[in-house]
Amino acid sequence: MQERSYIKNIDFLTTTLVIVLILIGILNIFSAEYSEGNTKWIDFSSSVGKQIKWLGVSLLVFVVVMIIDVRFFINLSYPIYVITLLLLVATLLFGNEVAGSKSWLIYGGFSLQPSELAKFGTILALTRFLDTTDVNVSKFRHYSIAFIMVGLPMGLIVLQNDIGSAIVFISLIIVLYRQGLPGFFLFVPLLLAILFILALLVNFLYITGILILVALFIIYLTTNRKRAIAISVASIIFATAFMFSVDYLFTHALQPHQQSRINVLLGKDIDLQGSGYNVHQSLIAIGSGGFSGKGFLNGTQTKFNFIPEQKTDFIFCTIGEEYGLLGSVVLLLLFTSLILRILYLSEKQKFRYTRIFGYGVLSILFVHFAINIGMTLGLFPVIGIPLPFISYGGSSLLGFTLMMSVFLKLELEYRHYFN
Amino acid sequence: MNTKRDILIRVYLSFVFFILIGMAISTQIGKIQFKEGKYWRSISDSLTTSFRSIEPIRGNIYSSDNKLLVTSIPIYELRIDFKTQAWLDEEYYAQYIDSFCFKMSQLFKDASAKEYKYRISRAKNRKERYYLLKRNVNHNYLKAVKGFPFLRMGKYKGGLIVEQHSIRIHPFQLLAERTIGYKVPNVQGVGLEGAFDEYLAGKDGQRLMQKISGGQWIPINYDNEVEPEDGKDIISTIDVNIQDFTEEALLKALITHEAKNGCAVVMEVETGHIKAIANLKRNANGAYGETYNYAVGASTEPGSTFKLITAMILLDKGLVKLTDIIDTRDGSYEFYDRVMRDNHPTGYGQISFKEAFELSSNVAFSKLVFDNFNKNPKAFIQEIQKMSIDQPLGIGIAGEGKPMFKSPGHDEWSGITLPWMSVGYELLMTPLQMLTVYNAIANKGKMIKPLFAEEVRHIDQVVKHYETEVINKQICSKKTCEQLKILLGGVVLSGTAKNIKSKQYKIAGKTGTALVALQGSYSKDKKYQASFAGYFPADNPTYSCIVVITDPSMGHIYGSSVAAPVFKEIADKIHAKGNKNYLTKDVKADDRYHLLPIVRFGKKTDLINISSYLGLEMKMNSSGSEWVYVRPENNQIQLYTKNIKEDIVPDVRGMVLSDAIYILENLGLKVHARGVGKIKTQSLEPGSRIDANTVIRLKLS
Repeated sequence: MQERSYIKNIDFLTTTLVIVLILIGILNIFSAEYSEGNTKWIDFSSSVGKQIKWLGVSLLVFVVVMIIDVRFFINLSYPIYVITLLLLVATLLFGNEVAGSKSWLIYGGFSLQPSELAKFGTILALTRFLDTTDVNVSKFRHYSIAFIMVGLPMGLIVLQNDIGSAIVFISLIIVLYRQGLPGFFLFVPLLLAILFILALLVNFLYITGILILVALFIIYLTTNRKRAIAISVASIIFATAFMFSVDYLFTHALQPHQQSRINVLLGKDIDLQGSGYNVHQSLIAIGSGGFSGKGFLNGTQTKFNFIPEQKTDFIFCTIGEEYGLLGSVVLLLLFTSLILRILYLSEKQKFRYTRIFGYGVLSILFVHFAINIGMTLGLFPVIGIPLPFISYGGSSLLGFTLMMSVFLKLELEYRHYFN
Repeated sequence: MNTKRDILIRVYLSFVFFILIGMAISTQIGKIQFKEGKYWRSISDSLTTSFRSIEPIRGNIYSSDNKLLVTSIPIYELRIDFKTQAWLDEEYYAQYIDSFCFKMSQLFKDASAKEYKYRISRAKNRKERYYLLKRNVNHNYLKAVKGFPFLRMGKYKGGLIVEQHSIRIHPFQLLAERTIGYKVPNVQGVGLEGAFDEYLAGKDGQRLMQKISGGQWIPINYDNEVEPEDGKDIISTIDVNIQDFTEEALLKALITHEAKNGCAVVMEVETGHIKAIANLKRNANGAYGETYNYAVGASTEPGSTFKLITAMILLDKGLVKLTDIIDTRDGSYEFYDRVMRDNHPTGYGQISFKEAFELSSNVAFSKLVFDNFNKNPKAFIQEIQKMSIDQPLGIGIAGEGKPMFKSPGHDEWSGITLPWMSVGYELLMTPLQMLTVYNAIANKGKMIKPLFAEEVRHIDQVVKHYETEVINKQICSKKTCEQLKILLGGVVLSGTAKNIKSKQYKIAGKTGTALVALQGSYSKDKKYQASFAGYFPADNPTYSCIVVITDPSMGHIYGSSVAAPVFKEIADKIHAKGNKNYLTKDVKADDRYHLLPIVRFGKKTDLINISSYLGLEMKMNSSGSEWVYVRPENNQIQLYTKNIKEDIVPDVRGMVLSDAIYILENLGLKVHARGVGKIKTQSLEPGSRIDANTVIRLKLS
């Protein structure tokens, strides 16, 4: 281990990517808020001003993480997790409701969204657990404990009525999968999701028909026919029952606004005044950007309050409109590079804790990035989660900086570690 | 090694998964920006601008004598955009904000200057761009506000946003309020406003507007707008004068008899034009107001006024002659387990059919109908259906009550239904439906639909003229009609309504006193509905009229003593107006002021109207006050201010009742009045102090 010359050796690519993303974010928040008549660049009551203040706080956090011994986080993984859980409980009890979700703790002029910090806390605790020598997540007992660790904060966030943030936690299944969780947990939900969507789009009897044809083909190919037939029959019955119940639940259990959101997404329904409004406006903004966009501050859709949540969840529209395809692809490349870089660094690590932690960070980053951009493009339902480093919001910026800082520190500390 | 291979596969799978999602996103972006780019761009251009509607001005409603009953006046909503020069200039703000708030407070007197300052500074800090400064501001106030600091810097620098709306004004206030009605957006309107909404409403105009920041729309291009098409005017059949004294006569009776509610309708016999329609109901604090259109909407058991219809059937079918003698015995007659009674305690004995009608003998009518139709009750119902009185009139006004006639086989049909029906029970009709039948008799048997509007007009051009609609060309034979006229005339000459006999002209009509069923049963604490329906002058019917008063509670309950006098008062006044030449134009100048003192004290505007109508000159010695008194001096009529002080009983002698009620009730007194004409005496001494809710009794001459 090389105790000195930390900062010099910190992973340059990752740090640069993060800094560039944050700067892009500030530029676009300014643009989204910009309107004629208000020409002050630095105004701490504006969103840009607030975001810059939070950037200062985040830098401070980065420096602190770099200075203190990284074993602080490793050893205090569980206590930090418990503190974030307590913050979630406190939010439920004393929180303030914003846009239908009770997910804010406001004290004086300072407001915090504990669910953003809970992501960090959960990754720490999960990493600590998976790092324990005799833990093997292919065993029922161990993966159950892991599920509970992820499920607790998720449940509390669901109670806050912030479904979007809760869904983010599901991505941690990637971490567990990398550590040996049976593939069943990754693929069965994926298949079910596909069946779910199919069941809503077409009559499930057609799908059952297709499944039977596929099964007959497989049975024809396999040698152990008896086993193949048994498995096929069981899965077809299960799939049909599942699709039937989806159909039933969709019409009977979901509330009308939830139904309409899903219908809009599936293209079965176009409701431009209601649930389809955000996505439609967002598509107009991105679509009107063209190849090179309309230029900085020249967007029209992203000014004038056409798109709700312009600075936060729908920040990607500003980029799409003002910088066009070029800008969007650059942003995508930046994100993909960041994620792949984290993946690469994690896999290179011999120290298990760093690797697992890295997977945690990248899962969370990835799901945010994919779902956020996906929803502005109409690929996913609108569930209201921010674009990491770019969206306006102090808690989110602080949370992601904390994760990245700890990961960078871990990576640096244990780069040459062999176990 | 198996584990190593497993881990590798897992890593690669994760990697592929990330790449796949990334690719899906890139593809989607490309698709939106290139393949569909043109489409989205066109929407983007069309979305920032859009056509917004501009409210048209709603049409007016006039009375048949061309007086304005309802009109729209513009009213403004004032808003402030704090992101404008005047408000962003902190120095200017510090200097003028106090003066601005002081002036606002002075003008509107709705909040202190301090409150204004608090509200404005809060909104300014939030940089509101659409701050609501004041609602419902009239044009004069708007002009004043435009001269205040900040706002006087002009539209763009001052940040004042003015939005115009219009509100409905009733210049005659209460007059026929419920019949004129009202209309609110997206709801079925009430009264004439609702019935003629398609004409009154007009068409929205369109203006090309652009959306600017803050969710605001501003007009871009004044050339492109589609002008709003203002609503058309309705000339109603209401005659303001007739309406005025109809309302006054009804109100007076309701106050005298402390009745719950009442209505009076005057209809022109030949045309069906409704000349007046008054509906009054006592509200919680004892005053009367127009809250429900009883005449049109309330289906009730009419009682004896229905005997006209019974008589029509009996005479038309030749079942009885006017001179036939009927034995009404001791005034009671048993039908199964129920007893039909006459009003006269010992009965009328042997009387002719004519007398039976004039005296309103229940026994005679029920017996005649029972004897003739009990074997085939359906025939009686068929006669009613033939006259088409079992159907609603189909007037345009919403909420017409449905008539209800039972027929054999009906759930509630019983042996006593028929005899009780013959005297106006066990069936429901609205006052207007009953009036239509009386009007038909006055109109030689031709039943016509009541009309509320004469024409639709658009700037002096007649857009639509409403013709009189005939419901039933001949409701009964000419001979029957003549006989019925004799019967109705007899009621006033020598029957139940002889108390309203007039020397100048003849009235024909029928009284009715019905027990009111409350929630389906006739309660022990009996409530009555007194009514009188008829027409005048009896020889040459011009107007028909019905008066219905529900629950009179001062001892009098009969149609003859409660409703008929109201009918008489209305008829007297219409009759007098018909001969209005009694004020001949060649009155000598010297005599002028001898004419006016009929009213010695009243509302300034009314007196000015009267004098200009009569061509009299008046000298104004008053300013400001609403109330004035008149004194002839120096060969001229002089007007002096009458001061009404709070807590002091005013001298209302010489006033008309409606003015006196207005003043006294406003001072917190309860008015009980008796008699007709101007006020002669008052029970509380002028100048004495007022205790709230004291009753003041007025005697009219």
